[in-house]
Amino acid sequence: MDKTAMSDAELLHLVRSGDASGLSFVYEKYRREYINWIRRFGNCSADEACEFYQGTILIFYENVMNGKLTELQSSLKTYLFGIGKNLVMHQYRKNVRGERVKAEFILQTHLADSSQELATKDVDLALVHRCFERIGDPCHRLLELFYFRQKSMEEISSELGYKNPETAKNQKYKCMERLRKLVEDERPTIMNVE
Amino acid sequence: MMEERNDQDLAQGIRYHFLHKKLDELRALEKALPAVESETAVVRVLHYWKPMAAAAAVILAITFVFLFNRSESSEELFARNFEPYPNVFEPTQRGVDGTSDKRTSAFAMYEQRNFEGAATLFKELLTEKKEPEILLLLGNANLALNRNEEAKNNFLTLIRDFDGLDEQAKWFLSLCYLKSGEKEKAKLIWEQLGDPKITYSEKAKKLLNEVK
Repeated sequence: MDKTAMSDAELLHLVRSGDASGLSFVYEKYRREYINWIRRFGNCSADEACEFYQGTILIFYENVMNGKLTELQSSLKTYLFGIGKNLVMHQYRKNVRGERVKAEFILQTHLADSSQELATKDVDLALVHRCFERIGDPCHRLLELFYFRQKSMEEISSELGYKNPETAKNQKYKCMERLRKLVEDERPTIMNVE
Repeated sequence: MMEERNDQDLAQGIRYHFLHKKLDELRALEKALPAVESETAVVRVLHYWKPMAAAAAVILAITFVFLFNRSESSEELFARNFEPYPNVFEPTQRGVDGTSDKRTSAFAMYEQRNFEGAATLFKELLTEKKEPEILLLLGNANLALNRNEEAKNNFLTLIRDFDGLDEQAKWFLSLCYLKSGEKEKAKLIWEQLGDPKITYSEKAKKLLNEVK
């Protein structure tokens, strides 16, 4: 289907389906307008405007994929600009020394702010990221569905063909144990850093 | 409890994994796209002023330049580079009833670009307590209202008495100097702001090249 003819709701559906071209299309569609707007609103450079935009698109993407955003109350443009406005205010409050904004920093701040309280502040995201890349299926897919897509055990059980949700839950426990072990083995210690 | 915390740490890492991968894709896409051209000075002026006020401002600026023999290019440069600093300190909400206190009203007026009203209230708030955020926004309001000397004092006070908003204060102070034709003073500040780590470095370098 011609994406230029798609409504905002259809675009949302395309992004949620996991079709990478959907998010790319959204990225290109609003890029110019957003960047010009946030340069004025955020009083920032072209590079920083880009970083804000990428951070905005990432937050939008996660909200679509984890089911937090299922239906737009306003236009997609308004939604994205709303994220951008909050980001600018948040970043300026946290970063008043005037240092350059980076999408990576926006991403990590977003994760820290939106995680449940029990997460520690100094989690080594890069370490977990590296270990997760190595974990392989079915764990990779199962943990993606549970933690990134926020699916229920019933949905996961159905999608991955487990006997029942309890079986899926047990598999998830084993996968997390595997991941935890990988992380512990990779974590630098006094003994193995020379 | 410890195990729950570890699960949440791993969960955050898993989310990071997928978002980081997507960020890499977005970066690759960005590299493949042409640079976004910034809007022209005319379009930015129209965004900044309401249409009637924009026409009046242009006429006034030309008259001002003619009468006071001020450098036309300084005014154009100022107009092109001045954007009031956004209210990131106490964003106000729409639809709030009319019983807002002075502080809320001040920030709301600033957001609505009612700089006259905002400046009056910010000055009152400063007599009660000096706050860096209010000094910054008051300076911006004064600059928008063409009260250049007052704006300069606001930014100089901010730099002298507080930490944390120095780069912002210096940037807007440089615009005050640009507006008043004190180019050498403006250039000194732009050189200080030229550190690539600083938000304003790109703008400062651009102005250093443009102002001879």
